[in-house]
Amino acid sequence: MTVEARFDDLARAWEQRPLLRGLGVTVTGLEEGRACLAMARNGTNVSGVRDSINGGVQATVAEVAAHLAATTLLGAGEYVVGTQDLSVSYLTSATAAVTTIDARVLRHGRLTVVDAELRVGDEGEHAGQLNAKVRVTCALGRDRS
Amino acid sequence: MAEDPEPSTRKPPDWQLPTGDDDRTLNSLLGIVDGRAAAGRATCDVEAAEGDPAPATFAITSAVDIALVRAAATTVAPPEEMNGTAELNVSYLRPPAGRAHIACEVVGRSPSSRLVEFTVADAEGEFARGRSTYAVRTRRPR
Repeated sequence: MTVEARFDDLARAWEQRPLLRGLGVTVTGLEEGRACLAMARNGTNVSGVRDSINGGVQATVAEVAAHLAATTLLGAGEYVVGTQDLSVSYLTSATAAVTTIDARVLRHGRLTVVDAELRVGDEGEHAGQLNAKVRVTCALGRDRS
Repeated sequence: MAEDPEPSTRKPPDWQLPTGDDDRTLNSLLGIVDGRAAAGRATCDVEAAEGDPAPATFAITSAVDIALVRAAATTVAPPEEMNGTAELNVSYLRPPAGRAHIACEVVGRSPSSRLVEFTVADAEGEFARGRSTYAVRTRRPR
């Protein structure tokens, strides 16, 4: 299987997860060490001040994107154990029809560090505006067999 | 970074959060059960999806924000208004092992913010903690 086909399968598998379906999230791009997602406003994810996407949801989706970015770099027998640390700076209200999430691995190892940005995905005056900056540290494990 | 610290090596299950329709409430989707909120404190629980031993950290992340906002809200009264979460930091000591209980407390306040600290515990004890800055604004009289 090619890397592209493996990433396509990975993206489709994650998109089928109830969490992502419920939050209106699609995987728009995967490459080694990077995951790009898009989240459409819906009745589930909008509940923040100024009619924005809930801050917890933004953090949750960034965390998902970070795990997905880390997953693209896993070797044989490796797996993501879970989040070790999560830090979010909220900069502007996420009120766009579509919010994009771009997660990039900064360091790959047993503690993998991922940087994620949430931005306005709509065209127009605020296109690309940074909504939140997220840093996620994921613990990786390896099968002993 | 010279050397990797030793992370937990407990392998997680293949997380499957509760299934449902697109218009489910956030709490329902993530398995969040609201608790009490009063006098600068708030609690909530996060249930594991059926068949999973523990909730995913993805769900706990949203639940923490929900609870801290409720804790902050109990300390905000006119002319002050809620203005959104500004910072959120969560550190996990180990993966969750069962139903998670989140307890938030407002530990500091200024005219423009509330500082909220929280712990997350399961039946085996505390497994995460963190803090948040919640922004507050004061409406000027006309």
